[in-house]
Amino acid sequence: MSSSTELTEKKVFLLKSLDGVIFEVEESVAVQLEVIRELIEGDCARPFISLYNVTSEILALVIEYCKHHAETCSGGTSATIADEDLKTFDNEFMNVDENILLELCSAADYLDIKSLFELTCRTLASLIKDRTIIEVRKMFNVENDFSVVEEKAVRKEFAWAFK
Amino acid sequence: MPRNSRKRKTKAPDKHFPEGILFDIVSRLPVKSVVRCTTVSKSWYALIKSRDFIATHVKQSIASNINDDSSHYILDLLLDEHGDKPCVVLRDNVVSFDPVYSVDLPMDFELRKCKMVGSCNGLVCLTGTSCFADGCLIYLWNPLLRRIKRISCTSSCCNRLYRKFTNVGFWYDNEKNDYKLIMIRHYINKGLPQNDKEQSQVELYSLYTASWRKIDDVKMPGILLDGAAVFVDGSLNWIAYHSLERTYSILSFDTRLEVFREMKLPNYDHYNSVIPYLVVYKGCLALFVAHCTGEEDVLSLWVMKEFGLAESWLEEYHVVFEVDCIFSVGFTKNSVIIYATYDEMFVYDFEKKQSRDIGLGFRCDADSLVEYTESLVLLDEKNELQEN
Repeated sequence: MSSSTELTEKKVFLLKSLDGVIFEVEESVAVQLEVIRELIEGDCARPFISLYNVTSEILALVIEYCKHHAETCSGGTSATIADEDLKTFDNEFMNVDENILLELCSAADYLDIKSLFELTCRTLASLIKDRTIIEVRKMFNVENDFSVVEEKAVRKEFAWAFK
Repeated sequence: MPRNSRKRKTKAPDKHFPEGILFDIVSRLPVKSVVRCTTVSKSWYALIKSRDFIATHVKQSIASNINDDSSHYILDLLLDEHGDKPCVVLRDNVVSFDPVYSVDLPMDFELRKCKMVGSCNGLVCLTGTSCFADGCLIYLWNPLLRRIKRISCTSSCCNRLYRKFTNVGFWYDNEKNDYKLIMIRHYINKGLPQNDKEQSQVELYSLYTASWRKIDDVKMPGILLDGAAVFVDGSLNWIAYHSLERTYSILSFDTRLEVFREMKLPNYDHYNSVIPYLVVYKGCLALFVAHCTGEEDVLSLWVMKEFGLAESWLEEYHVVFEVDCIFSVGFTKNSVIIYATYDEMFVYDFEKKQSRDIGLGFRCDADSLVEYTESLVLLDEKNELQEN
């Protein structure tokens, strides 16, 4: 009997990444993923959940992020100390290669983790801010489909922004 | 996992990044960077110029600007007095008040009569004094984007009536994400009996629908509205002067309920020898008065702690200056007041109790300086006036 109460106290979920790696997470961490929280609230959550859009490399990072946020928020520390701690963690967490950042952002969107989505969007925006247009195209793998004349016209329309 | 392993280089994503997420990232960029991004590709150009994107960007800027001073400016309107091109100078609104850059005013504007009614979320409302004649000139201008929109006024008043005043108020409706104007025209019809001869006409304009509509049944007491309205708690507020009684009050227009009401000013002994100014202080409606005794100036800042409640007026600051008479010119979000003596401009920081010369030429009223934040509003509109 005691083992069953222990089970309900420490409910775990198994999350499977796109490339088949399985991660075991506690409920307090899993509920940070809005997609999973909705499943749990709707009583539709099975203990084993496949996440088709996220690779194991990214999922490991997402779980690291959620775990830290869940622990900091549930810990006994005061709100201001917890805030400071999260800020430091977030800053350090964002110190990654920009392609990983892009994937994290897209995973946060898919898994519906609002704070991580906001964090990655803001970080990516600050990266783009001072880049040249050629660098932005490269970063997002966008092809320039303007003709020379068209591009010149757009630059003329907003000449002040290129000074 | 060891942190260093995340540092390794990965190759660029080979598939296209989802446009929905791109929208969220780009909407967090400052205005100038966003505008530069229109040259990335045709789809980026279309995305950035869409009404939806512009509206989202405005909301993002409001959300992030609360703690971020980087895009706060004072707009300083310099008219054509010395043969120079008329322009606005954007000044740093946080520390130095130094010019950051300047933008020329569109040429065919009636420059010498131009006033800034107000500024919200990147748009500046300009009026020409011909607003007081039969025709009416109102412009909404995004100085950063060099976009200007002329607002045409539908009705002009009847010539038989004597026009007492016209006042324009400008605000941002953040529920509907719309920029709105109110135009109050006050007439005196000499053919009517004493009690009925003052008439008011009130119209509202929405930038989103690009149209005016009348508000019916407005009864306005015998008052005179002067100066720009101050927007607090969803209401526009003006100082109202009662010419018969020679007293002041506040006329307040609730923009949600679309009704007017009058509010009392704090009890203050020297209303007959000061010009009262309404300002916003830490989100509250506040009254600034400077009383000149001959030897010194006493500067008071009264704050209405609970909006609409006359009992909540409190004199928050009371400062004695040993200088000439002081005019209020503006109030910034950092609780700094900009004021003028007869020949110089100063800022006074109420919290630090410090006064500082900011090296601006003399301005006599609040119409030439407004607070300004950047935005993309009007990016999707054609320019309606030729630039120089």
